[in-house]
Amino acid sequence: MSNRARVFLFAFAALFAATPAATAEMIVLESNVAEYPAGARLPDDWVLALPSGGRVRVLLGSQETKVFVGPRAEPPPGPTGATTAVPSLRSHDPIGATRGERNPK
Amino acid sequence: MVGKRTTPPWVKAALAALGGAALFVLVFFLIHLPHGPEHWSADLRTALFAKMLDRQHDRIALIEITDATLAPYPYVSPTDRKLLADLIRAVDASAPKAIGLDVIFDRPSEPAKDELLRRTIRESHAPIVLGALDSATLPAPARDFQSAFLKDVQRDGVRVGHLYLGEEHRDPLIVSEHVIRKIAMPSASEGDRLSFAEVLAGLDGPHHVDEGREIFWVLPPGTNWWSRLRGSRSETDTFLTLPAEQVLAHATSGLPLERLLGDKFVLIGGNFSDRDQHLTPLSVLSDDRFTGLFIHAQILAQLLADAHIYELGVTYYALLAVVAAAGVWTGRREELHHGHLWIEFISVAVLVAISILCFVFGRFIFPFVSVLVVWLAGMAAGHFSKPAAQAHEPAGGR
Repeated sequence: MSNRARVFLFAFAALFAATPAATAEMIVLESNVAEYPAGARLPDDWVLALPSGGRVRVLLGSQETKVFVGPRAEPPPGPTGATTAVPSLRSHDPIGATRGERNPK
Repeated sequence: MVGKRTTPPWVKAALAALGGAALFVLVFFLIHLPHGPEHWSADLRTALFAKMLDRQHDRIALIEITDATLAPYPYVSPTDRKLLADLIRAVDASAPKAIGLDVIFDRPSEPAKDELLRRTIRESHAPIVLGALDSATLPAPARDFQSAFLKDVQRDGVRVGHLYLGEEHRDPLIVSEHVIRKIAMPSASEGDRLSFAEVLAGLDGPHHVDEGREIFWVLPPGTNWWSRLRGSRSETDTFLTLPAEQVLAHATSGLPLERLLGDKFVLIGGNFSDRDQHLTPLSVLSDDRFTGLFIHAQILAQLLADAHIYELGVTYYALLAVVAAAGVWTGRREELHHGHLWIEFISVAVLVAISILCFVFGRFIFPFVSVLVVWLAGMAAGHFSKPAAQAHEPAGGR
C-alpha cells in the first residue's frame, strides 16, 4: 500500500472516529411532569429526575416502553421544577360513582 | 349405695371430636377456608415466582385509550367511533399480525362515525378480533345494536370473542374477593363463543387452554423475587404500551409505528381509573389494579407460548387423604409428643418450600393451605385419639 493510500485511510479512520455516533433517543409518551411533556425527545441515557407523584412513560431507542415513577434522582431545581398538579392515575380509594378520580374529602 | 357416675372417656373424646369438627367447619365457612388463604398464598407465590420475561414481550403491543386521549372529545362513553376508526387505520398501516379491539359496541353514537368505524373494520387488511358481551346479559336495545353492529362488519378476517374475565364467584354465600385468576369459560349461550384472547391466539395456530384455566402470568424483566417482595417494581412494561393519542399523532411525532407494531398482536382498549380495573394475583403485594386490556394480553401471551399452570384434579383429594393419615400417624407417635411444636413449624417450612418448588419447576399449584390444615388436623386427631393414659401423661413421665 502506498504512503498516499495509508494517509488517506488514516484520515478516513480519524474522521470516522471523530464523528459522534448517532445517539439513540427516547420519546416521552405520557407524562404528568411539566419538564418532560409528551412528545419530548431526550437522549436514551438521560436520567429523568422526577418528583414524588411524577410518572413518565417513554419509548426507548431499543423499542421498549418504560414507566418511571418519582421520586427519582434529584428533582429539577428552581421555579421551572414545579410539576403539574395531576393526581395519580390510579386512585386507591373505592369509587362509588361512574366517573370521578377520588372520593371528596 | 350407688357410686358417682363418671362419663366414659370415649364419650368425652366423641364430644370433643364433634365440637372440634363443628368449630372447624364454622371457621372454614367464615374465613372461606381453604380457598381464601389458599388463594392468597397462591397469589403471593405467583407475584413472587411467576415467569419473568428476559425482555419486553416481543409479540404483543397495547394501545391505551385514556382520559388524556379523550380530553378533546365532548363525551367519553361510548368511545368516539372516529377515534377508533383512525386508530385502526393507523395500526393497520403498520402491518400487524392482528388487531384486537377490547371495546364493547352496545349502543349507537353519532351515525356518521358509527358508519365510518364499520367501514374501516370491513376494509382493514389485518385480521380484527372484536369484543362482545353475551346477548342474554344486555338489555334489548343494547343487544340489538351489538348484534347488528357485529353483523354489519362481518368479513373474512373479522372474528368475535367474549370479553369476560375468569373471576371465581361460585358460592353466593361467600363474598368474592374479585380477583381475576382464570381464563373465562366459553359463552355457552353464544354457541360456545371463545374468549377474546383465545380468538386472537387462534389466528396464530392451534392452541389449548388447560382444564383448570389458570392464567400463566408473566412478569416484566428487571426485578427478582426478593426485590419484588420488598416492593420494587420493574420500570419496563410487560408489553409495549403506547398511548392512543401518540399513535394518532405518529405522522407528526415521528413514532415509528411500523417498527413498533409490525407483525405484532396489537390490542386496543381503555385505561381509565374508574372502569375495567381488576385485581389479579400480581396485586397481592401492591394493591395495584390492572386493566382488562392487560389481562387479555397476559392470556394471549400464555396461549402463544403454550404455557400452562396445572392444578391437581382427583389427585388433590388423594393427596389430602394421605397427608391426613400421615398426620394421624405422627400425632399418635408417643416419642414425638414433646416435639409437636417443632414438628408443626418444620411442617410449615417444608410445605412452603414444596409449594414454591412445585410452582417454579413444575408450574403446578400445590394446595399449600389445604395440605397444612389437613396435616395439623390429622396430628391433632392422632394425638387426642391416643389411649387416655398416653394422651394425658405428664411431660417427662413419672
